[in-house]
Amino acid sequence: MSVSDSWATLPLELVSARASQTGLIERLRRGEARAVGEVYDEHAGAVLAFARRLVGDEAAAEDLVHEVFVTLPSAIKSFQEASSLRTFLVSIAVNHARHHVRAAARRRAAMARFGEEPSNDATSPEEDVMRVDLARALSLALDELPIEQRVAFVLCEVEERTSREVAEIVGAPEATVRTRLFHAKRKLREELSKRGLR
Amino acid sequence: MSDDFLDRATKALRKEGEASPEDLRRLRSRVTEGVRVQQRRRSRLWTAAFPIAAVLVATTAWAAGTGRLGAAMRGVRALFVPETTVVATAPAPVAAPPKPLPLPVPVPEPVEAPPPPPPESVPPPAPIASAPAAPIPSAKPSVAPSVAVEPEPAPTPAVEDAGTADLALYKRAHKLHFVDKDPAAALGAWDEYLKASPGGAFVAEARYNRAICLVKLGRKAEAKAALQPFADGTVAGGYRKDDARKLIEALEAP
Repeated sequence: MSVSDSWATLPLELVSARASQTGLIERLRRGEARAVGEVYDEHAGAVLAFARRLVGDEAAAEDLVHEVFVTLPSAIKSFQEASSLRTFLVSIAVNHARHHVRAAARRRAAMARFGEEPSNDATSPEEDVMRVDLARALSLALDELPIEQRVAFVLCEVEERTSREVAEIVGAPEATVRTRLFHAKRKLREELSKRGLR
Repeated sequence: MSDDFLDRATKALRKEGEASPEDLRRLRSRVTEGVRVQQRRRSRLWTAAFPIAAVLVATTAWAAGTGRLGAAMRGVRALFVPETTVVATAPAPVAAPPKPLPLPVPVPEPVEAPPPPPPESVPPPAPIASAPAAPIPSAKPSVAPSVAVEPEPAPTPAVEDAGTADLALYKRAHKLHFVDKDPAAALGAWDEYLKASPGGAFVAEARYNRAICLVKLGRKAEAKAALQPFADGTVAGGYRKDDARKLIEALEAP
């Protein structure tokens, strides 16, 4: 079925949205900086949130997002029109995440060794402080997982995406994603127990 | 540990990840700058690559237009596989190891012997047949057939401009062969050129002309041996293949 045939079955607003995305993608392929800006305005929030959750470090997450958008004009060549641009951006982030995750994990390990946890916001209410601590504990535990399991956990559990969507992002079968998630959760429970967190 | 703790930690991480508009604004300027830098890099690459590509295309077109492309290509090929394609099939004089070639661009027009006339125009090979298998090198062309070996119209002017020693040797051999019409002297001169420049740009031409000298001198067996690689098409991608076959046929004719 051709693209125009598939559009014929869609509601008008969806057709319009898809046509607009197609135009945007064409401009990205031509390397228009303004097109990158438009994509950023629309999707950067989601990409940055994912990067923070995955990497667990503010600076490394921003580096990752920067890399995603700077490489977008060349990466867009492999974009499949059928998938969403946001999913594609997250998949770029996943592909570039490995060394950012490693760098952040090293930083966290060093901090833990010297007992210098990154400072909390002193003015935060108690609940916020607790949340920050919980998130940090989970990030430390995530550092013990292989990157594939870490990505599966963050996408499925933290971002609450469907296994189908995650499979599309990571380019693996759904069953593989579910297996990775299962092992990730098991290891995380063990890690958190080891640290006396229960 | 309870799943409850993992759930709470997961929720905490979810909440912690949320990006504020301020964070996004700050990061936007960084991303925009990064994209611009990337574009500048790409455009610089194009700026550098385009003239190089244009020069390459123009020189190739010029070489093709002036008939120098073949010699240039042979020169380039000889740079990478000098032994196997050019020298390996050469007779004894070119057995010395190759040395660096002159650049293909300033190379003068290759000098080629005229194509031999068709076999029917070849006079009876009696003189060849009656000639000794290896006559004295100084023998004059009186014993040679008037086959396909008659002189080149004129010396190539490009050779006149050549400054290298190798090309001077080539020029000398060319003059002896085509202007002075002295095959014995030309044979020595071709050998000298091939010895001095075993991987040179004109090795194929020199070897062919050397073989012609042998034919003119009536050194039938040596001429055949020298022509055989050309007839087999193993020299410079089939250089003078048909001519060499016809000459060998003429030499073998009763």
